[in-house]
Amino acid sequence: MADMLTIALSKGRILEQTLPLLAHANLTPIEDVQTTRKLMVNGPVVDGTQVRFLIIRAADVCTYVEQGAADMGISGRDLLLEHKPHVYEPLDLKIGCCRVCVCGPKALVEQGKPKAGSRICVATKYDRLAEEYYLSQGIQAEIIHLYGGMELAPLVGMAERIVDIVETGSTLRANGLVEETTLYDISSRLIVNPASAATKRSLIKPIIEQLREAVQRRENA
Amino acid sequence: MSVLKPILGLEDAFGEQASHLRALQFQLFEIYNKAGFSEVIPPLVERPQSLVSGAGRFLSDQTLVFSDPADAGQLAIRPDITPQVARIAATRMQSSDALKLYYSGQVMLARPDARSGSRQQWQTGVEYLGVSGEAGDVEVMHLAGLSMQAAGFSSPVLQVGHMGLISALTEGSETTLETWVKTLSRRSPEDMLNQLANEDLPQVNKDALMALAAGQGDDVWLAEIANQINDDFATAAQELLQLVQTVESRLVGEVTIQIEVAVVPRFLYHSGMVFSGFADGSSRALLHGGRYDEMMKAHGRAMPATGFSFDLWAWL
Repeated sequence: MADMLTIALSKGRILEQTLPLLAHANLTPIEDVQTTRKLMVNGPVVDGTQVRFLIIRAADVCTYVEQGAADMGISGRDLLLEHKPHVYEPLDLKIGCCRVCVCGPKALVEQGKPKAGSRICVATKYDRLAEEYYLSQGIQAEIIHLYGGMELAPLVGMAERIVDIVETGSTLRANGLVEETTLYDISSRLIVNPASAATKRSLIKPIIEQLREAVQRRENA
Repeated sequence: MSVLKPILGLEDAFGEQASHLRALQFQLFEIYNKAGFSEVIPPLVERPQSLVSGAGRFLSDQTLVFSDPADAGQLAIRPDITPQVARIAATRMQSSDALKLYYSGQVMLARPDARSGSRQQWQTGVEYLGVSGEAGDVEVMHLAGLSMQAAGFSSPVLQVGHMGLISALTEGSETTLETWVKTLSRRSPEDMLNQLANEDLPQVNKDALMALAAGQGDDVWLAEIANQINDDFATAAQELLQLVQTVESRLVGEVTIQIEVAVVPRFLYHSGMVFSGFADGSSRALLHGGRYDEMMKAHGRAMPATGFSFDLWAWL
């Protein structure tokens, strides 16, 4: 049996929704991961294998799992679509639900979508998704990469559209922006390193099934 | 003097790294020689059509092509040596019915690997041609296990699937096999569900594809479903179950064998059994292999062929 099973978790709001699912699979961290400043926290011992959790930024989870520093992790579908890491995505945890949307200033969006052959500036942290979408529409998009606060870009005239996560739409409204198109529905996925899936199969498979059951149970509640 | 910039995705090996690479290479050659295999050394470049025979655009997408002033034609830097071995076996070694060959050389990919950023591999591999069925497959899987052990990988695992199962499950679909394989490689039930939404396949096939995407395609699952899809599926399932039973009994203590029907080949020229090798402490597949009888047909010599290969750089 393997010595260690490492699970990478995202810091923040998703973590709160993740913990009950982990508890159902008897994978409760021994410390309160929402308050500790530790980045690595032990969990239970399962079949002689020590489980440990890495508490890291959401954007880094797929990197840790792809590189094999973590065997499994929980990552948003937006990041998986954008970065296309070589990981398995066996389970939709149905938490952290939101959408990746194209948005723009109300007046511009009301004029209709940009025409094929036109050229626009788009601010986003999802460079690949934005580029793929506009290429498919025949529109030449200049992608301006930002790390946050996309809504500001159209307000200062830096971009005509943004491609960003929308959950309730309140930030958009507060900044005079509206949704134009939904590109993807997003939720958090359980991801697994392919090599770990093979070498730690007898440990990982039951965990996936228990988490699947927990998701199902919560959906039915 | 100005220093030239390095080339994207290419690097030099020297000192300890070079000596380790050679030491491991010679250690592996000894294993292959002992098993009765002999070395074949193909050239660095080929005619593009020779590289893509039977492999379609899976290789052409990764092939650097250039004009050759001496030959007044196009040449390609090999992205994979297996098609070269297939060409040599089909055209230069016709006097032998069974060929046991190995090779080790540099290949270059047109695009950097998404993860390592590298475009070069020191592809090393074994090809066993002219022997159909289990005998050839067991021998190459045995050598795959020995190779991983020689390189110091602990607890090696071979996950074995069969392209015939994927083809049988998607029979009648207008979606290309490449697309199905890509979806399966992500093991994402949600993505599979989206793809199945527009497919006119029998429900039992759709359920099976969903199970594969959820990572449930093990030996127990396969034995249960073997006779529920169609004749082609039943034949491939029987072949795989039988092969794994034989391999398990022959390679006890050497390597762990797992049936994983969703295991997919690195390049899509494989048409029968396929396998990938993993080991503790390595974060990605260490080797890929399988049966590629169809590619031999495309080279004009219909003969069974099976083998595996890996990147020696990545094994250091």
